[in-house]
Amino acid sequence: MFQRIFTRIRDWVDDRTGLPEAVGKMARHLVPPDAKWWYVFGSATLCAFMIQVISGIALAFSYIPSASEAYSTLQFISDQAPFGHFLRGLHYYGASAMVLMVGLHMAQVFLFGSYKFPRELNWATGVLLLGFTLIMGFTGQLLRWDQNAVWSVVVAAEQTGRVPFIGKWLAHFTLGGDTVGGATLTRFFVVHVFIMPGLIFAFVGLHLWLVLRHGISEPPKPGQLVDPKTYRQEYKELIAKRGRPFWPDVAWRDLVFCVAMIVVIAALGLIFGAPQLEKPPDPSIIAASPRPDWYLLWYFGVLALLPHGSEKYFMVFGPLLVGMLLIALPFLSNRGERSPRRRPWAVAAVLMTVVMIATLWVEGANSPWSPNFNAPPLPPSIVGATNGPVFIGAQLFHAKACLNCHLIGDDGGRRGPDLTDVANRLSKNQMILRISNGGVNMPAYAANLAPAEMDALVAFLQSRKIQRR
Amino acid sequence: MGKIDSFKIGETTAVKYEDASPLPWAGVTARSAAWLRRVNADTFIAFSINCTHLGCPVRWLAEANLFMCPCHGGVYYQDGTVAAGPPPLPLARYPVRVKDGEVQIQTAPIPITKK
Repeated sequence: MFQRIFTRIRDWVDDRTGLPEAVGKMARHLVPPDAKWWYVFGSATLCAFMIQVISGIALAFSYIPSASEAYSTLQFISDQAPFGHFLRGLHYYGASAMVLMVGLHMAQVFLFGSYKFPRELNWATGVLLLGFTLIMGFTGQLLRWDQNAVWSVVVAAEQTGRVPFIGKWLAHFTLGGDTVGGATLTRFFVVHVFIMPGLIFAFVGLHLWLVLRHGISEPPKPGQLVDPKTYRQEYKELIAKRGRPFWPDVAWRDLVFCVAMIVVIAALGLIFGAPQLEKPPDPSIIAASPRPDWYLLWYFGVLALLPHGSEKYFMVFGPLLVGMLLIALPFLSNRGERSPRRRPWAVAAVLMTVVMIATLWVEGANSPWSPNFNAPPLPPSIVGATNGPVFIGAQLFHAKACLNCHLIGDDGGRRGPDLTDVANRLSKNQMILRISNGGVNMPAYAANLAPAEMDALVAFLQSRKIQRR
Repeated sequence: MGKIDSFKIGETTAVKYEDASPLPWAGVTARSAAWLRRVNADTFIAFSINCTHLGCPVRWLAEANLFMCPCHGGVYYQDGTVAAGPPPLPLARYPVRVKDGEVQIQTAPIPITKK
C-alpha cells in the first residue's frame, strides 16, 4: 500500500521534472576502467568546498561584518557559542584541505597530461578555480578581523598600489578609503561570502559540465599519443568496450576519500581548533607582526627574499605571469605524449615547484629576515664577564639592537651573520669598519656609538672565539 | 598630540589619534598612530608608522636609535632614512605644527609606495 503510493509519487516527480532521470544518467555515465585512486583529488576539492559552505553558513549565524563588532563576535564564536570553536576549526582546516586538494588535483592532472586535447578548457577553468580558492583563503584570513587581518589589508594595499597607472586607485579600493576603517571589512566580507562563492559555484558547474562532455581522461600509457584527429574516436571505443558506470563502480573511492578527509578535518578542528585570535584590530597598536596563514606563507618568503628594488615588477607581473602561463599551458601543447614516464620535464617541473614552495614555506615560517624583538639580554654564562669592557659591550650588543639580527650562541636574530665565533673571522679593525659603515642589510653605527661604546662593543666581539683543535 | 613640553628633545614617541571623520561603525579601526620626534626646541618630525616596503608598522628602538620593521626586516635611522633591508624609500612624514603650545600633525592617507 505505502509502497504503491511511494512509487506513484516518484513516477509523478520523475515525469514532471525529469531530474532523477537526468541525474541518474550523469551518475552512471561511463568512465575508463582504470580511473582509480589517482582520480579522487578533484572530488575531494569539491567535498572540502561543501564543508566550507556548510561551516561558513553556520559561522555567519553569529558573525557581524562590522569593523567595530566583527572581533567581538569572533571572540563570542570562539569562547561561548556552542561548538563555535570547533566550527572555526572546521572552517580553517576545511580551507586548508581545499587548498591542498586543489594543488594535488592540479599536479595529478598535469602529470597525467589530462589537460591535453580536448580538455583544454577543463584545465583553464581549473586554473581559475585555483585562483578563486587562494582569494578565498586570503579574504577568509582577513575576516578574522584581528590585528593580523588589519595589517594584512595594509600589506595587500601596498601590493596593489605597485600596479602602474591605476595603483593608487586600486590601493584606495583595497582599503575602502585612505586608511583601514569602517569600510574596509565589508568589502572583504562581500568578496568572501558572495562574489567568490558565486564564482566558484558557477565555475565548478562549468568544470563538471566539461568533465561530462569530454569524459574522465583515461590513465596514460607510454607511447599512446594524443592526436586531435583521432583522440575522440579512440576514447569512444575505449569507453564502449571497457567503460564502467561512474556510480557506483568508480564513485565509491571518491566517497571513501571524502569521508576520510572529513574525519581528519573534524579531528584537527577538535584537537587543535582554529588559529588563536590576535590583538584587536586597532591600527594604533604598533607592536604587530603580520603573517599570512600557512597557504600563503611561502609568498611572504618570496616578498622578503626578492632582490631589493625588483619588488615593484615582481609583485605586479609575477602573479600575473604565473596565472597566464598556467592558463596558456594546454594551448601551447595539447597533443602528443601524456604519460609522465615519457615527460621527464613535466615531472621535473612538478618536483621543482613542490621543492620551491616547500623551501620558501620553511623560510617564511622561520622568517630569518625579521628582527627578533624579544631577544633577552645575554646571560653571564654566555658573556663570560660580569664587569669590564666585555660585560659593557655585551649590554650594548643588546641595547643597540645588534642582538635583534645577530646570533650569539642560541640567542638573538638570524637576519645577519651568526657572531658566536666572530673573533675567529674578523680582526679588531675589520669589526670597527663594519660596525661604523654597516652593509647592505646592516645599519651604519658610526653616528650611533660613542668611541668608548665602540671599544666596549669590539672588546665583547673579540671575546667571541671558539677554540678549534 | 599633546603639549609641547610633554615631548623631550631628541626623543621619538608614539602618538595615537583618531582618523579624520571616520565612519560611525569604524570602532577601534578608526585609530592610527605616528612616530613623533622632537628634533630641537621648535622642530618636530612626524613619521608614518608604515614601512615603505609593504606597509607593516615599524617599531622605534630608543636605545639603538633605529626603526625596525617586523615583517621583512627593513631598518631606518632616526631621521627616517633607510638603514638596511628592502624598503625603497625613507619613512613618509606628516606635516607638523605647534599651535598654542600644542603639537598638531596633519593626518594623511596610508602612504602607498609607488617605487
